[in-house]
Amino acid sequence: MRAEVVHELREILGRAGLISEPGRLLTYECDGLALLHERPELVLLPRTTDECARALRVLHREKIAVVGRGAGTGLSGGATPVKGGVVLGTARMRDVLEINAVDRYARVQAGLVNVDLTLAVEELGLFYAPDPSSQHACTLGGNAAENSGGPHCFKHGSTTRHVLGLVIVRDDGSVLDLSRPAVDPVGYDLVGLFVGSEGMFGIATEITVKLTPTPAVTETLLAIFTDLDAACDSVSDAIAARLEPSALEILDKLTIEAVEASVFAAGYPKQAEAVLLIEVEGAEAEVEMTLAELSRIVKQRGAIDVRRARSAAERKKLWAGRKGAFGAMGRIAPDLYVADVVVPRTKLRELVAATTRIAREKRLKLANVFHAGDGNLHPNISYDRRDADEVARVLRAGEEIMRVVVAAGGSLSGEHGIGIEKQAAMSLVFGDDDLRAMCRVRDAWDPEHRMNPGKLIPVHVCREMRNAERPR
Amino acid sequence: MSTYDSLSARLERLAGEVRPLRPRHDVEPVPSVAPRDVEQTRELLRFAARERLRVIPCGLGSKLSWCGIPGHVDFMLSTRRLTRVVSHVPDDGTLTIEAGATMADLKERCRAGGHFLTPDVARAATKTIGGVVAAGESGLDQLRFGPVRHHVLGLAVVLSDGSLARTGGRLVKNVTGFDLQRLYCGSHGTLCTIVEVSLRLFPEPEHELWLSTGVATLQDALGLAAATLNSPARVVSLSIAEMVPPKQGQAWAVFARLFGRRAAVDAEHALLARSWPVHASCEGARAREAAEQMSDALTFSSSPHPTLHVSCRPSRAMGVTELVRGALERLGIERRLALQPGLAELDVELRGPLEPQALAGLVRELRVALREQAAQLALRNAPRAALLDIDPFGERGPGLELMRALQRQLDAAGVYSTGRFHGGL
Ligand SMILES: Cc1cc2nc3c(=O)[nH]c(=O)nc-3n(C[C@H](O)[C@H](O)[C@H](O)COP(=O)(O)OP(=O)(O)OC[C@H]3O[C@@H](n4cnc5c(N)ncnc54)[C@H](O)[C@@H]3O)c2cc1C
Repeated sequence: MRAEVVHELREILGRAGLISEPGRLLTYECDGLALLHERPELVLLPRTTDECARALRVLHREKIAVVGRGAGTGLSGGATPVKGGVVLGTARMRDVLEINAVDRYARVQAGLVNVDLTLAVEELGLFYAPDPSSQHACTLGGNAAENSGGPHCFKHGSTTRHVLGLVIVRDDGSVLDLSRPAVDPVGYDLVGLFVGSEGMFGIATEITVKLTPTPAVTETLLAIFTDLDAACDSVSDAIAARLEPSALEILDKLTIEAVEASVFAAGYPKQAEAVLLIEVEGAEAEVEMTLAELSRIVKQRGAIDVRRARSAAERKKLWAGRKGAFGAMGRIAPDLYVADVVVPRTKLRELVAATTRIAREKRLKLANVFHAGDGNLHPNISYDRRDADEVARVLRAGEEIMRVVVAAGGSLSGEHGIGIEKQAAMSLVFGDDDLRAMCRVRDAWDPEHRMNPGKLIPVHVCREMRNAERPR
Repeated sequence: MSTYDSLSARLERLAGEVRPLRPRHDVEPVPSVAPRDVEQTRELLRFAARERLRVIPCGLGSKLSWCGIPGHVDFMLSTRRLTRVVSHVPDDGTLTIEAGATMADLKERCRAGGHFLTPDVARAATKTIGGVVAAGESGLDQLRFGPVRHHVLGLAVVLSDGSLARTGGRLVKNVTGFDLQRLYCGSHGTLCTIVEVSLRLFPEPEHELWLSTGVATLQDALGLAAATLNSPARVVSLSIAEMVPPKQGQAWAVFARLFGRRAAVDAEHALLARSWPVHASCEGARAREAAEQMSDALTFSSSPHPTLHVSCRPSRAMGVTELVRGALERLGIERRLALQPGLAELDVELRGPLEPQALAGLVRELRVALREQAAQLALRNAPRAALLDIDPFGERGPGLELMRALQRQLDAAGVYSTGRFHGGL
C-alpha cells in the first residue's frame, strides 16, 4: 500500500488506531478457523463511527478491500483477511451508549463484548438473551454479522430477533443510521437484512438491541445417559411433546472427559456416554410442570440419573462446563475443527450417528456438543494441523457431514455462518437462481464487492453474473 | 375489444382464472389472474416482462389499501389458488405451504397438529399467508411471539424475470445464506411474488383465558398495563380501547389474553388478579372466540375507514395517545381508538367527517408533533385525494436510496408496479 495512504489513515485514526508492523499483523491473519490465513496489509481500529467512515472513504477512493473484524472468534473464516486488503476491527469501539430500562433496549458500540452487555444491565433485572458459548470474547458486531446463536436461543431466538437498530458505515464511507428502535420497519427491513450478512454489506458501528427481563424462576437439570442415542431421542420427544424449555444441550462422552479434565470441570459424571443439560425458565407453576414432564421423558428414554441444580452457583458451574467445552477440547489435540450443521429435530439420532460413522471411517476423533433443542449439531473433530494427511481427512469429513445432513433435509450452518469454509457447499442447498438473488442484493449494498469479498457466495455464481452484465 | 378484455383473454389462455380486481379501493379494476401453480406464476411474470406489463402480486387483496396509489398497473397476480401443503412436520414444529392458503385454513391445520399459528391475525378467512407475510402483518399475539418476520423460516419467491428464488429453509435455526426473507417480508409485492412460506409453529395451548375490565382514565389503563407487563405472567396480548361513550364512568377498557398449560394459566390469572380490579373473564373456546372478535375490533383490520397506525416506545405511549386524541378532539372527528401498550402501537379508526385535504393536513401535523416522541405514523385506507403529497407508510428515512437500489437489482425489468410503497418504491 502506498505510504501516503497509510499516512492519511494514520492521521484519521491516530497511532493507536493503525497497525502496520508485521509482527503485530500476525494476530489478524485468521479467525477461529485457523486452517485458513492471509496477512492483511494493515489493521485499522477506529474509535468512533466518524473515524470509521473517514477511513472507509479513503479505502473506497483507493479501491482497497475491507474485512470487518470483531474479536476474531468466528469459525467459518468470515474474518479471514483477503489478499491486498485491510482488516477493520472494532476492538476500540466498546462503549455502552445508552441503556433504557423502561423501554428495554440498549444502544452500544459494535465492539462491545457480548457478556459485558448483560453485566451492564443485570442489576436492572434485564439481560441480553443471545449467549454464544464464546460470549466472554465475541462482540455484538460479530454476533450481528453472523446472526449468532447460543444455548438459550432455543427459547429466545438467534441474534436477529434481538437487533432493533444499527448504524452502518457503507462501502463508500457513507453512514446509514438505522438506529431508531421501532416495532416495524418503514420500507424494506434493512436491519433484518443486514443481520447475518457476514460483513459483506458494510461495517456495523453501533447496535441497538432488545433487553429481556430476567425470568422469575430458572431451573437447571442434568440428565445422565449411558447411550448418546437415548439422549438424542429424549430431545426429539420433548419437541414432539411441544415442551418449551429455554435450553436443551447435549455433550457426549469425549466432551465430558475433556471438560472434566479442564478448569471448566462441572461435575458431569465421567462414566456417562452423554449428558443432556436442560434449563427451564418462567413463572413458577409453568417451570415446575415443564420440569416434571422433561424428567419423565428422559427417564423413559433410559436416563440413569436426573440431577437438579440446587443453587445459582451449581447452575453456573454446569453451564461453565458447557460453554467451556470447545476450549477444554484443546486438551485432546492441538487443533479443533468445529463443524456446525442443522437438522430437522425429528432426525437427531440418525444424523448424530451418521457424523460419528463418517469420523470413524476417516480415522478421526470426533466429539459432540450441541444445541440439541434447535437441531444444531457441532461435530468437533480434533486434529493436528502439522499433519497434512489428517488435515485433508478432516476437510473431507466436514464436507461429507454437510452432504449427509443436506440430503436429510438439514442445512449448512445453524450459527457459525458460511464464510470461506462453506462457500462452495452453498450449491448443495441453493440453486443458481437462489444464489443470483443473493448476489443482486449484495450488489445493491456494495456494488464494487469490496466489503469482505470472496466469502459466502460461491465464486462461479458471481463470475457468471459479472460476465452476463459486462457490455459486449 | 377493449384493452381490458384483450389482456383478460390473453391471461386466461395462460392461466385459466381471471376476474376484475381493484389495485386499491378507489382505483379502476384491472384483470386479476390466479395461476394454478408455481410454474404458471413464473410463466405469467415472464409474459409480463416480455410485454412490458406492470404487475401487482396479491393474495385476497385485503391489504392493498394500506398502500399508496400505484403507478401504472396492467394486471394483478393473485396467489389464491396456490394452496398446496408442501411439508408439515408437527414433531419438528414446522410447516411449509404455498402462499395462497388462507390464515383460517392454516390455523385449523396447525391446531390439528397440536400447534398454534402466529401471527394470529383478525378475519383469518379473508387473508392468505403470502399476503400476511408480504404486508408484514402481525397479530395482537405479537406481544408474546414477536412479529411475523421472526417466524418466517424461509420463502420461495418469483422474481420479475420469472426465476424462482429460495431463501432460508424449513429449519427452526439456520444461517445459511443472506436472510432475504427479512427483505421480502413486508415488501408489499414491490420486489417479488411470494409463492411458498415456511413457518415455525408454537405449542397449542391447553387452556385459554380472556380478561376484560374497565377503568376511568387512560392513566389508570396504562398503570394496569404496566403492572401486567411487569408481572411474571406472560400475557399473549394486552390491549386498551377507548369506550365511546363511557360506561358508568369508565372510559377505557383493558383486555388481556392468557394461554398455556391449565395450571400455569390459572396461576398467572391468580397473579394478575392482584393488580386487576373487578374484571370479567371467559375461558376455553369462548375465550378464543372473544380473542378473535376483539382482534378485529382492536386493529380495525377490516375497517372501510381511514386508520392511523402509530408506533412509538412504550414509555411514550401516554404522551402519544394524548397527542393524537387531542388533535382529533380539536377537529371534532368521530373515532375508535385502541392501544397495544406492550408493543407501543396505537390504532385509530377515523369515522369522520373528514375531507381528504383535512385528513392529509391532520397526518402532516401529527407527524411533525410525533417526531419529538420518536414515533412514526402510517395512514391506511386513505382516499387517494389525501395521498397526493403524503407517504402512507411514514416519513422518509435515511435508507431510501439503498431501498431503491435493492428494488432496481431485484426487479431490473421493472415488472412490479411501483409508487405504492414507502418512498414511491
Ligand atoms: C469457543 C467458541 C465458541 C463459540 N460458540 C458459539 C455459539 O455458541 N454460537 C455461535 O453462534 N457462535 C459461536 N462461536 C462462533 C463465534 O464466536 C461467533 O460467530 C461470533 O459471533 C463471532 O464474533 P466476533 O466478534 O469474534 O466476530 P469475528 O470472528 O471477528 O467476525 C465474524 C464475522 O463478522 C464480521 N464482522 C465482525 N464485526 C463486524 C461489524 N462490526 N460489522 C460488520 N461485520 C462484522 C466479520 O467480517 C466476519 O465475517 C464460537 C466460537 C468459539 C471460538
